[in-house]
Amino acid sequence: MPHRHFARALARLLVTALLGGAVAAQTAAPAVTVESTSPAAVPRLAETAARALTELVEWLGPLPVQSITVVDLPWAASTPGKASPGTVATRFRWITPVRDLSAERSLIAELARQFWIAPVTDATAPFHEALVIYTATRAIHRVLEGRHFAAPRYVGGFVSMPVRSLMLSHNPAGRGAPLGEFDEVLHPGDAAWRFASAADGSPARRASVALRTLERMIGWPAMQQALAAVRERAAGSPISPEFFAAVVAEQRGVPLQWFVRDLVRSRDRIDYAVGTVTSSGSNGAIRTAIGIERLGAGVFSGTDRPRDDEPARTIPVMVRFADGSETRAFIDGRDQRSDILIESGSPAATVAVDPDEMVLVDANRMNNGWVADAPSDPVGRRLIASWMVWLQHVILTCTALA
Amino acid sequence: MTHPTQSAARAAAQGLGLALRAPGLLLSVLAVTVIGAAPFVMAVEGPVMDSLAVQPPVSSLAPSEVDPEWWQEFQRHASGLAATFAPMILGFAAPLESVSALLDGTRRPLAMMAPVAVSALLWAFLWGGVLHRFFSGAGSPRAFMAAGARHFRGMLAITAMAAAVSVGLYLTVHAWLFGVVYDSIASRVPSERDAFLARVILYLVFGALLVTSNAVFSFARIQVVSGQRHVLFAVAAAWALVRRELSSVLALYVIFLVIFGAAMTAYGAAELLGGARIGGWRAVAIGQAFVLFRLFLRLAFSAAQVNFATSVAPLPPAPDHASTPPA
Repeated sequence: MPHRHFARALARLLVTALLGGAVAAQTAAPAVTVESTSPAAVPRLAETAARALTELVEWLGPLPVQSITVVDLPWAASTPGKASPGTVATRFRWITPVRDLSAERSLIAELARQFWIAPVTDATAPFHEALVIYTATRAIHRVLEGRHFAAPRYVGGFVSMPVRSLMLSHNPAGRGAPLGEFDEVLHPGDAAWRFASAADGSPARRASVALRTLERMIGWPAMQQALAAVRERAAGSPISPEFFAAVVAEQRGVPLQWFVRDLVRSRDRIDYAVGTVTSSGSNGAIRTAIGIERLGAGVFSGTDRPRDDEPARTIPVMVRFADGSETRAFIDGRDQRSDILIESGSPAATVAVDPDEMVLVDANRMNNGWVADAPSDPVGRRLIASWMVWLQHVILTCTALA
Repeated sequence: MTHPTQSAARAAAQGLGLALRAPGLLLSVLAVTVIGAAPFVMAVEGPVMDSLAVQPPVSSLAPSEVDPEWWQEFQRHASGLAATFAPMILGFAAPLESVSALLDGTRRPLAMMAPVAVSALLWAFLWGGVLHRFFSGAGSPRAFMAAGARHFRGMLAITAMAAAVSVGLYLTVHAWLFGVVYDSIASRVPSERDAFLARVILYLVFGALLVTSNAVFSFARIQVVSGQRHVLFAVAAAWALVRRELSSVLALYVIFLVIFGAAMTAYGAAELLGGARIGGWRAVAIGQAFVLFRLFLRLAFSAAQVNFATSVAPLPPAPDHASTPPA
């Protein structure tokens, strides 16, 4: 009964506050109040909440509430995540180094949820949850940019160890929607307070990736305008993917039925892969034949034009040659197999389908590339050396027991 | 009569001294550890390099920085040993994760069985040479190899028994302590700090069992090197020694655990505190140096155990098998 636990925790904190044990902090509009028994938590959560709300209001428009109360849940209360209008809950762990921003991630995720609270139907619930996941993930990357490190927890989950050499949010404005996902947004996947399940493979997860794919295609400014317009026009009523697509299509002047059909409503697995690559010929006249395969039943059409017309150039294929030169070809994502023939002065060294990582709905991107002879990447060499050190530690620990 | 702490401290000091005077042995053990890990490194290298080769460059990252998005994508689809290729491999997280997994009984992927089994085999050979070196003082490579080969079967049998006992403890006692018992306590305590303290106490309870088991099998190895040919008699003699000298044996473990804990704390503090950002090859070098330090501690601890076992001589006589006196 997460609701009851939450209510109990909230009531207990309010009583503590009345007795003078809690600390409250006010920030600029929209007003934020932080209730926590941990003095260290208050300034951090207040600052993050203020920044996140400023960002989210700028993206999505105003909230219907005048103030937000952030509750730092006590130990043994149900996990954070539930949001009701005007109240969000997070948990600031006992051992939380400055670089461990998990409480902040949880807080931003719930603040993002505030913007989408609305009555939903069975048909619209997954897309509503997808909007929460998408905006929450994006807001986390944006608000925590430049100071956001991986911080796994050890020793029963009590000890946090930020990894300074792994920055999670380096530049969300760089190549569009960031790929990074966060446990604080996605877990627990089947919580009762979600609009719909966010478990792996759920319609909401797929739709959230579809939204990121769309952002990579049309860019963040267009996506942000669409989100704000959708929210304004919906005015608190359920938002269906069809309604969303219609608003985006109206703004951009091109139909987007494929987005709903292929990426949101379809359950078919989308997976493009480099099948075969062969180079033949010599003396500067090399013919390279590349076969790109669509392994899943799902398609990324990227257009509403029928396939009978000329092929749509929807998915790029990058070919890099041994002499360092590079060229691009395009395939129609609806084709089961696409064959590309290229004549060049040297053989192909690298082939990549969707090299800019636009089609994020591709279920397995590890098969999107082909290399004739993988170059020894300096970062890769260092990571492999790190893995070797880790393996030795594991071996030493295990052999100490035997 | 010598105080238990005094005899343990003396043995520990002698062990540290002996290990310090055996740099060749330390480097040889390090070489074997690295060589044992090398084939598995090659198995992971292929998928990582292939994946990085087709990765688009990220303009906001320095060429030496890791793209977290690539890493998350790689982890999502990696399998086998490559599935262990996670941020925990970086810097201080590596030893912390391995110790944490020991405390929490974290299950490793099945693929990890192979490197662990290979290392167990290598150490079954190394133990014979290492203990012989500290027991007899004979430091030649030939004596080391001969002792390793001579005692290999006995050491392997003890390793198998120790592994079986450890697995049994994890499947029964650990599962109970950190399942039913911990959950019951954690749901009753008012704060996270209290829950952590409760967990630490449970770690100590379980750790005491592991230490006892480890002590019995460690001293059994010494018994084998000292001439006891029958493994079961060696274990029985070691059990008798541990029971008779329990406080000294525990003191010896505490001394080395404190040294290890202090080194871990210093390593962690160097990464966590201050403005330093230890990364790149420097972090790898520091990590490898810490592996060397762990190996040094292991050798020193073995030497201390040998010293301790001989100092509480006579070693428990074998019931019916003739023992070869120490060289």
